[in-house]
Amino acid sequence: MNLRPETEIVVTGIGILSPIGIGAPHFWSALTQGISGIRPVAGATAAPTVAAQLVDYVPRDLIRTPHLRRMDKVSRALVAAARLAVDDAGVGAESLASDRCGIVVGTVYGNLGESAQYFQRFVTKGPALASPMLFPNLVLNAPASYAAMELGCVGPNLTVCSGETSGESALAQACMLITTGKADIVLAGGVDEIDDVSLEGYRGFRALSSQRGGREWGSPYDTRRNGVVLGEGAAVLVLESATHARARRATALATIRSVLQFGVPASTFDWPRRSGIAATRLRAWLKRSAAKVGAVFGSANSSRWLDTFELAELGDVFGEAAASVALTSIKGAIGEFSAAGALTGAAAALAVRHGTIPPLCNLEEADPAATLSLVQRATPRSDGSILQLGVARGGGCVALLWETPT
Amino acid sequence: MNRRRVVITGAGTINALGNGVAAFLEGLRSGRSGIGELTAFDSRGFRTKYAAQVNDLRAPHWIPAALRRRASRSDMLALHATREALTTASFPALPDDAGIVIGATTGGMFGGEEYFRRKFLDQARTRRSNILATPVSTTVDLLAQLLECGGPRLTVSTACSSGANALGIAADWIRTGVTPVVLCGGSDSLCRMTFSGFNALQALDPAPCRPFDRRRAGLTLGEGSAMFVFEDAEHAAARGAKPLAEFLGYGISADAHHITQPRPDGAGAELATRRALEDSGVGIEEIDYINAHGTATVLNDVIETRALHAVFGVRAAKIPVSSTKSMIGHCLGAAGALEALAGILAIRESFVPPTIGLEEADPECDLDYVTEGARSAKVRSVLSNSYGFGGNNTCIILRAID
Amino acid sequence: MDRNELKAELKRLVIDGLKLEHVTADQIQDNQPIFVEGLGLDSIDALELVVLVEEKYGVAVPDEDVGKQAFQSINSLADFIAASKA
Repeated sequence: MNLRPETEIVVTGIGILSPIGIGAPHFWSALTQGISGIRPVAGATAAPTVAAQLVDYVPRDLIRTPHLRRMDKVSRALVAAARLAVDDAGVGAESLASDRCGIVVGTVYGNLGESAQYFQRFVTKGPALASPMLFPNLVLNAPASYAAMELGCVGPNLTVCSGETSGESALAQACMLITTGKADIVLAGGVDEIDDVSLEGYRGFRALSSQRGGREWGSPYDTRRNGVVLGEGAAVLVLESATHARARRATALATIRSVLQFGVPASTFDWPRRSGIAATRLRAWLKRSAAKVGAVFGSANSSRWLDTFELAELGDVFGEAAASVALTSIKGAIGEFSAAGALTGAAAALAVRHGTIPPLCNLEEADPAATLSLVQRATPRSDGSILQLGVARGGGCVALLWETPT
Repeated sequence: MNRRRVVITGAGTINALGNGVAAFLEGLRSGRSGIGELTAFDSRGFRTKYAAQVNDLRAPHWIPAALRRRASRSDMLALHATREALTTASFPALPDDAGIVIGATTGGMFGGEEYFRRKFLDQARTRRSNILATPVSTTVDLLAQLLECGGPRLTVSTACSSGANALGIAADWIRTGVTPVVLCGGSDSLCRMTFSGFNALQALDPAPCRPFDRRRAGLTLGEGSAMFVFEDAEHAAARGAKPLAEFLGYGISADAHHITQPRPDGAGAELATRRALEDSGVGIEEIDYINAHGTATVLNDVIETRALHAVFGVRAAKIPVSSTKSMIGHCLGAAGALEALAGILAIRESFVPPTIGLEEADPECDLDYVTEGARSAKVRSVLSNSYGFGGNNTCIILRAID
Repeated sequence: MDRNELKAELKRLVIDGLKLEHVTADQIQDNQPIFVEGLGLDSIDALELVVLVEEKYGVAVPDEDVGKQAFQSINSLADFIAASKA
């Protein structure tokens, strides 16, 4: 009944745990300086020998619930990011505990690290010795549930998965909860981790940088890019209806003007190839939204295929105007993981807030297929919207339009 | 603003009662149990040998051989149910912008477990990529690829309420004009991870589950899928489709209480029900049948009963409430979708499915659980409850087409 | 094993196995109820401790009544393990 499609949705707070810093100020400072979080993996002898691993932090400084002792790395990072976000947004305990406050988390693999521990005991010692303490943490919605317990949020609570666009999908579903009147505030974001299982698993996929020759590095849109570098982290954004934010005198950092979820043809585990379909969908959507795009935060992750796809489709979207549109991707700084889109969303919101587009990391020789202007150093944001594009293996896409709040 | 109405124009299922809606209906009507001995993997060492398994499950012949080999058990279940849903909806192919949203919790875990078995038992060299090829979002991507769907796609994983949430999200996409047609539902297969996990939490009844019974000792795990075609009512009318039922609305809440236990006061369950009634614009006097979450765990059945008393007051005793999990087990991420289908069948076939295995009701479970077998009844509006691990509660409301 | 050694080992098992924060072995009294109050433990911890004890000492809890009795305190748990292994 309370359908509010014209509701303006604003971001009023950001919490981030990333390979380049804890908290939005540190993240943003490193991002605009072009600092990459890709560092050597301790003890690794074969690729991946580098990854963008989360910097150290003390969970107890951010998390109050007594359940912390049982929480795994993924849940801890997500809950810590949620705490940072609500503190940043100045959301009081009363608002959080209202049934108008929801949580949406994007993740794909969740807690793979403890799943290895869990299976080790189960497989080697039998079902009777499987751990009742670890099992609940293997359930994908554990991070979102722990966040509800930490903050007392009794509103809608969702965990969504859509491959590498899980972070963007969480933002999209959060907007839907507000638009359809199910919540006034939603803590939306995502989380994923690097652990022994994922390192070993990705090694087997042979899609990582250097596995098919060359040096190991993460360099979105560089012509010599040669594969993905893994990353990890968590980001939570406080999304609110503008009315609600105004009523509590909160500062709106940015507005999510519109969201587009769509799919393009691709084989289940492969990046899509250029078909023009993404460009057509994006062009029609931008036209409907009457949006003029000044900058794009792409999903390029240093994969030969994804970056090529993105450059081609974006080139088609903007045509002759492409050179006037700035193009960046933060995955040279934070690596690739399923919730990376939540961090990209946070970066887009901060770009709107601070009027700066952060540069690409490790760009040495721009891919000649790039018709948009690749951002080499932090650049003032021009007028116009920021387009965030998320692309997943299998062809799922999510796009968001970020603007200055009205 | 006049809200778009969401109708269900196609439905399909596969579960322990059989492959297809007809078999499911026959099972529900006759109060047949789909619970039997688990054979999908070795049940030795567990508290129970019972499961509601889909026997002789194979990838359907209509998909390319390369994909047949890769399809996980959860994928296969979803593929069978999807095919039937598209057939009943009279869609040879979905429109380009059709969306897909599925509730799931285990994805390809059943196959992925082999990775861990080999890794820790030092058996033959593991295919290293195995474990990463199994995320829950794979089923949706596979369906999108096969059906050439260009609309939004999503997997929702909120444990046992996943399936119900998938239907709610599909309805929201239609109501807000994102897309007029959504393939939605739930799919989950049995696997060692969930079986051993619920076993470790002592949440599995050694005997087949007995919802609301005084002697109940936990759930029986099952597997299955129910898939639906949700459609903007005007879109359905324009193409002359005959809707099976209307999806009126849903409500979601979180317990914010404990990672495995429900809130003892049932406040989370109660809130989700109230939200569903509000969203649907339905009064408590209009609900004719309640498909309970009814897992048969000691806590759930009492707390659910308490929440129903709180919402429905004196009317609670007059509404038939049944747990179809007594026949198809607890299918986790698919449960909410399967139970929505039970609700649709109740509406269409004018009957209330029974709760089987309930011999001696718990004194604290004092509602009409339909223990005598399926009951003929005019059913116009149905409430279906799903409460998930971690405290995720989702209630949906379905209604007959006028 | 000496009974005092066993009790010290059980306290370490409770602290490490259940990942207790800011609890040291000398804070756990031999006769203190493990699960009712004090340590802030719940049903999941109780189940985990049963599994940890079975894994470490090879003694299984036959039923709930025995379990409730055996897992009351460090003392009762030491008694249970000693009796089961005797």
